[in-house]
Amino acid sequence: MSEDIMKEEIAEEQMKPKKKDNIICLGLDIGTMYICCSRSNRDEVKTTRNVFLSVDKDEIGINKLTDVSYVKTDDDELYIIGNDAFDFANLFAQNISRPMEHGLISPKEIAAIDVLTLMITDLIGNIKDRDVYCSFSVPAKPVDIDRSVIYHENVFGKILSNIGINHTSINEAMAIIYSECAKENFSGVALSFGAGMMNCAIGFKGIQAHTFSTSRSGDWIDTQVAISLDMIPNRVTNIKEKYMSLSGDVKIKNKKTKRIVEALYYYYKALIEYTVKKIIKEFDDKVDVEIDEAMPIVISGGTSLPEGFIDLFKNIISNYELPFEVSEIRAANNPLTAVSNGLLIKTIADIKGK
Amino acid sequence: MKKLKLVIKEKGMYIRLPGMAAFRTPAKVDVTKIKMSTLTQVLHSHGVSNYELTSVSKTGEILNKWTKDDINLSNKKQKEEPTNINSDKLDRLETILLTLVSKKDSEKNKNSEQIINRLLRIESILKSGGQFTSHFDVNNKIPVVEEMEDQYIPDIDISDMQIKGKTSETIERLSKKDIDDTVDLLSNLTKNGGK
Repeated sequence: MSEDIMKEEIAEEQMKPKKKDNIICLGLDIGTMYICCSRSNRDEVKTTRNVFLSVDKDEIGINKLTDVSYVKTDDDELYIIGNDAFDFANLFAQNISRPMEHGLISPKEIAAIDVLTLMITDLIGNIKDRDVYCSFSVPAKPVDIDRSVIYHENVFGKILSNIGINHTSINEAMAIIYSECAKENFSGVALSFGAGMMNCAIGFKGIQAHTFSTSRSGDWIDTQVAISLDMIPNRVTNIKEKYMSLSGDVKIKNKKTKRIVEALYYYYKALIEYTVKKIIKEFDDKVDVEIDEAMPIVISGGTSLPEGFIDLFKNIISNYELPFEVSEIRAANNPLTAVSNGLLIKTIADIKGK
Repeated sequence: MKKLKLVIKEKGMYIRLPGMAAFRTPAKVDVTKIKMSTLTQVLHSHGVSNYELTSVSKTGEILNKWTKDDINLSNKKQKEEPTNINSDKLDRLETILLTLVSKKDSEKNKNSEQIINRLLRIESILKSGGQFTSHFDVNNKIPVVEEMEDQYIPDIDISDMQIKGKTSETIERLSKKDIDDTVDLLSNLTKNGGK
């Protein structure tokens, strides 16, 4: 148990609630790159990077890891986790282990489930003697790769059951509608540009009309750039997070970095083009609901963070005729927390309705 | 209609069969629409050595069971006498032929003899275990995987693990009022059936 949890436990013990206030609601956004948690009795949203790095204990002594977050097993296995894993991997030009790929639990990292359980337990914090209800995010079935989401959903269900939490799964993009479309009576089209996937939900008056996902999002951009320029994908991710802007000229002096940012721009454009085409196709093929009202398109997710993303999206979508009327295209209030906040809202609303 | 189900009990394998989404084992999968030779080849290439095929009736009754060894033997026999026929089509053909026999028995003895001979051949094929189908349906990409509950997810054991350091960071302060207001709107909308 981490020191943070222990401190939190002591503090919460001192102001232990009466039985009727014993319920805690959670929203848990389990993304390919980040896991994010909103909690009803905590006024802060916490996040951790969903990556880890297996290191040789003899090469890096534990006493050197004073400021680093890590997991240690009784068998002397050592995993650096979260942001520190990402930094270490970049420093040593190593590829990090990622428990998830394409928005789903990775078939290559089955051993990571234990590490993931520990990271989620730590992120959620103390829930001792509480009734805890949690909505966790799941992607929709992708339309462009042949993968099922059943295993993913069951693994996280099992992890939460293991921690002692009542749980239900909610589509990731639908959660954005819960958090961002209250003024439109929870109607809208939500796009979640995560690391592994782009998820789309069409919500109508709080009801999920249609959802789908594509396998192209942030990781796809990074991988394509890495292949084009013969680099390690996490180095590209690092540069993307530090320098990427989709508005105006590239103002970077370093020639190599400039080339990477330019390549990123081309793939951002390709990603948006691809997404818009898929939205139109899905609407034409699968959406039966007659929607007379104009609906907003709300964009969220870490991949939508670079400055100018919304303008680029508006610019590209204006070249297409959409099968529905758009009232506005806007970014979520906080693209990193919109999903977890939406999940929290849904959990509290469900508990309230019981 | 009979169904052919593949049962793999061994845990922790990730299998991708043609025309289906990948799945994990242990699992029970409907493989009626997959060509037998393709199925055995794919299983071989995945290194699956321990599996069973069961023929299941419409009511769920197990009609027959084959292990990998039985299938290998049957494949050898098949080379001598090809019997790769769709069971559904066989059922329909059988019904049509029986009707014809009853109608035309008195009129054309020669024809009925031929028909009876065909029926006997079909019967012998069915008795030999009824081989299933030749093509998989490309449109049916969703596998009918009977989930064996949580068995296929490895057990979670974190009792021997310790986490150290600050693993998470705060990225936003929640506005309790905004959350409560949105919850009220959503609850009212749900209560009033979207009105």
